[in-house]
Amino acid sequence: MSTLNPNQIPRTALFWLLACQLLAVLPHFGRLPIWVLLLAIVCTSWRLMIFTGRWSYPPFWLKSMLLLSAVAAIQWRYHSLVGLDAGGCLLVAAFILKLLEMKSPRDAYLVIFLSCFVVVIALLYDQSLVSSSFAMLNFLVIVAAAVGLNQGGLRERPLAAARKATVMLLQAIPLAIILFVLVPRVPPLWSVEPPGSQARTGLSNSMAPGDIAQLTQSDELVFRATFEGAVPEQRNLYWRALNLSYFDGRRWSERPVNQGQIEYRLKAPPSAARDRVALGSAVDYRVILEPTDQRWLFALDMVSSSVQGATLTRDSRLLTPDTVERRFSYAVQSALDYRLDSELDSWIREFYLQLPDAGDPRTREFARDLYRSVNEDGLQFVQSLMTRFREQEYFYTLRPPVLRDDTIDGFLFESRRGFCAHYAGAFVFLARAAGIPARVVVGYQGGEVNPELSVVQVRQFDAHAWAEVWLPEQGWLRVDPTAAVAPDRIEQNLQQAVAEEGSFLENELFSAHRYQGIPLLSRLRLQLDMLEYYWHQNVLDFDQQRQQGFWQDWLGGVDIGRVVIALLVAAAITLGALGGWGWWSQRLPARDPIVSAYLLFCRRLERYGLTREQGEGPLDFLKRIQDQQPDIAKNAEHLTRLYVNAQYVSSAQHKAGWKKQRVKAMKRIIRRL
Amino acid sequence: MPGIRNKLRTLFNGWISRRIPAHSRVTLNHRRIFIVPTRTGYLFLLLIAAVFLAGVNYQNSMSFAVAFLLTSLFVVAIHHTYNNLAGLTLIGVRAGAGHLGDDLPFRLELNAGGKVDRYAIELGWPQGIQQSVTVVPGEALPLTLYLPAPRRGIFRPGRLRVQTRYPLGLLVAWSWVDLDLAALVYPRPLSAVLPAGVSSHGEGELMDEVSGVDDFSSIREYQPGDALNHLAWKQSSRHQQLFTKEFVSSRERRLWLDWEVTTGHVEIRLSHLCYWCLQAEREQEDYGLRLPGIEIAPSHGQHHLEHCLKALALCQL
Repeated sequence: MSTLNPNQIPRTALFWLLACQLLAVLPHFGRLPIWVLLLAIVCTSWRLMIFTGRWSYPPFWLKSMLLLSAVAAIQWRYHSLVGLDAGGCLLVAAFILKLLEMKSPRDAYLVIFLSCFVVVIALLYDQSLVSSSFAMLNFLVIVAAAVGLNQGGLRERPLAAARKATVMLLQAIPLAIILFVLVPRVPPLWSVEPPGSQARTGLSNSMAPGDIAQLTQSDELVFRATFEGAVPEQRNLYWRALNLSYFDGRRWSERPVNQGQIEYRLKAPPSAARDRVALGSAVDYRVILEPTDQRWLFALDMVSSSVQGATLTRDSRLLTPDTVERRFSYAVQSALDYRLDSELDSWIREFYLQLPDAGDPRTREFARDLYRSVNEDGLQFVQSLMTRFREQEYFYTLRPPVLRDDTIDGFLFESRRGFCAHYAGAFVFLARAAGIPARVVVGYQGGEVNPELSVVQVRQFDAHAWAEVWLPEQGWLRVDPTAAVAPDRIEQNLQQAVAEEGSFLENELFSAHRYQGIPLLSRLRLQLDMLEYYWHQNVLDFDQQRQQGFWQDWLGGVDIGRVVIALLVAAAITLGALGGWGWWSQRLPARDPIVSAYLLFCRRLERYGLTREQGEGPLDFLKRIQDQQPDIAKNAEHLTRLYVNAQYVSSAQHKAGWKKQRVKAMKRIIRRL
Repeated sequence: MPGIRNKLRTLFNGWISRRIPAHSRVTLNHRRIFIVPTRTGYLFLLLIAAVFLAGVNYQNSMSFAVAFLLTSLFVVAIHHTYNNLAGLTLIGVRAGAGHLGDDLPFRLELNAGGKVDRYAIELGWPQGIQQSVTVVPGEALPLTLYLPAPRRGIFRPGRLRVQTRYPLGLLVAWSWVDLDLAALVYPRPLSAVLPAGVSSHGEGELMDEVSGVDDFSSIREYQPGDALNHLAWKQSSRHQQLFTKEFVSSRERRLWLDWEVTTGHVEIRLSHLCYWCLQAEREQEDYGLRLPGIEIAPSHGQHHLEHCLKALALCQL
């Protein structure tokens, strides 16, 4: 019993509050400047010192100074105080500083509410299965803190608070799921910058040797593709993103600067049916693309149906009107056997023959000689080049030597070491020098296939560059010179190709992909990926469109009336269930623990062949026990005495807690039986 | 305005009396429990709206999920807060008595139904101090609440507010319970010269039965068997020897404490009479009480005192 003290936070609550602050801030640390971490350490230690009574609360001027310097540091770092990054940082800093002045329950509630927000901000950045599960843990602790705050008075029962919080959260989940499915999703009310859009790894629209090598150091997911039916063979999984057609002597890029005319014409959709001819059946698949901040979409060649909302361009790219800033999912159909552009307009032909005016003389001469030696036959030219790469001493490596000046000459005739970008670039240069239209294609190759799900997961390290040459009648032909040098790269994956070198994800010590060699770990990771996949598929990608589909399927249509009725019915059912549960649990009479213990004793005696008769009093029963089972008579007598005494002697004579002690004593005896 | 407010209060009181009639044993159930969000609860709803907005603007599924989870948690909290009170039985055991201005003890007993502990049950009358208790099922919890006595007579403290914010503090469930407790409030004792002093100055007619009052202070040596409360402590300590106050035929002597000898306002007169009663009782003297329409024959002892005090408490009400 205690009188209320509205101005103090109970210790139970304080314990949970500290825990919930720590957990809420934890996912943010990777993203925030280092001083926030320092601030957290200082504030937490200070708070612990206050908790143990060694220090007191800091003076007002110190708190103000800390807050002002935090604000200044954020302004300096982000050049702003609003926006998700700066605002989130500010919130976290304020949240940490609140540690130093958390005194009354009102402060505690502020901390609880801020925790909810800090958790939500972490989810805006990362809503993977792991992060989301961690957020659930956060909420468990937050609710426990709230319970501790309201448990009242002097009772310190942190575990009881956690238990209550668990029960409440579990009860809350069904209704939350119903709301998640049924509450109409609203389009954004105003435009906001999506989180984490600053530094995103991925392909860019120009390629210098070395760019792709950097990508191979990241295991970030780029997209998932779910096939209807089996996944095509690994060597057919060339995910095209864009064509690099312009070479300036060092870099390949999408187009020359100031050639808007060509860009415009290339962007136009393919003009005639003869431009794209499917020779076999098509595969259907759905791609769930992670945000790229780019306009291109990934698809297998040759895309045979247009993607809703996107344009298929003249040069086989898929472009969206806006950059992809949120996870985006689209359905595509591709014909893996195809004929692309059996005729080429002269302007476009000229465009794909572009080379710098000077540079790399040896390569040019070599190409012209080779072309002449195969009687100007394009296909033979390609084949002899592939043979050269295969048979001569060319090496696949992620650590190529640095090349100066005439990079292609240097690569082809001296270093002979490189990876896809080098080989594709050199190949296209050779073809063009011989007069064959060619282009570098950039995208991803392969991916990790989960055959059970027909899902391919493509990560940054699957980035690849290959070549396409145009031959009369045959159209564009995919040529991957890397396949000639390092067939492993294409048939299996990058890791196999550089297995000896050890350069795979060498900067990502903790990446699970690095340890694909360990079978158990690998299997575990695949299982996790599968879970993650379902998570994305069913929870995160449940958007307006999917919701409408759901309504169509289950409620027979989408209109506000149906939705409201469905919501009301669902809410009524869950509330009814909850209410019924409450009513039922209240209805149960409070079974006296002593009676329960005695009945347990009677059940236990059945082992000895003794069953208490209907209406047989405890003392009579005891007599029977003493007669029939003298071994346990002593224990039985003790227990019966405890029971009779508790039942028939006025409780006013007992001290508080007597019942518990007595029940404990009875249970001890029962255990001995 | 005050007129309207009073009228509303009367209406409310009438309604609640029908809904929760006064009884010494009240079990709280859905008819008797009210529940609304607290200020924290409204802030929480605002928080949910903000999280939902973040979900809308960032098209973030997990923000939606969190918003819905918190909404659902709020709904669950309604049930838990309600259930923390529902099934709780309040028993008014007994109301104590006291003088005007004293804190009157009211003894209650709480019993929890169901199986779960009832945390942070707050009880109290609006005019008194709140207490917060935890009730464990199967164990009756005795509890004493105190209230200052506001006026003389029978004091009914009115409806007791029993409320809880457990578990989340987002909602408050409460009930107004009238446990039908009535305390007796005696007049506040006001010291005054005993009527004996008054009587010696002429009103002999009234005081004739107590004429032997002077004998009462004679002192003699202590003898074994003398009542201890008759010891004359002052003299004993001065002379290092025990003395006993001599009461000459105290049975015979009759001190009449009479309404008529007092003057002033009713309450002042009763206060004086009350003081004299207590004083006489302390002196172990027989005293009688005459109030308008009531006459209590002289006697002494705790029972007699309570009888007299009750008469004083209820006089002219």
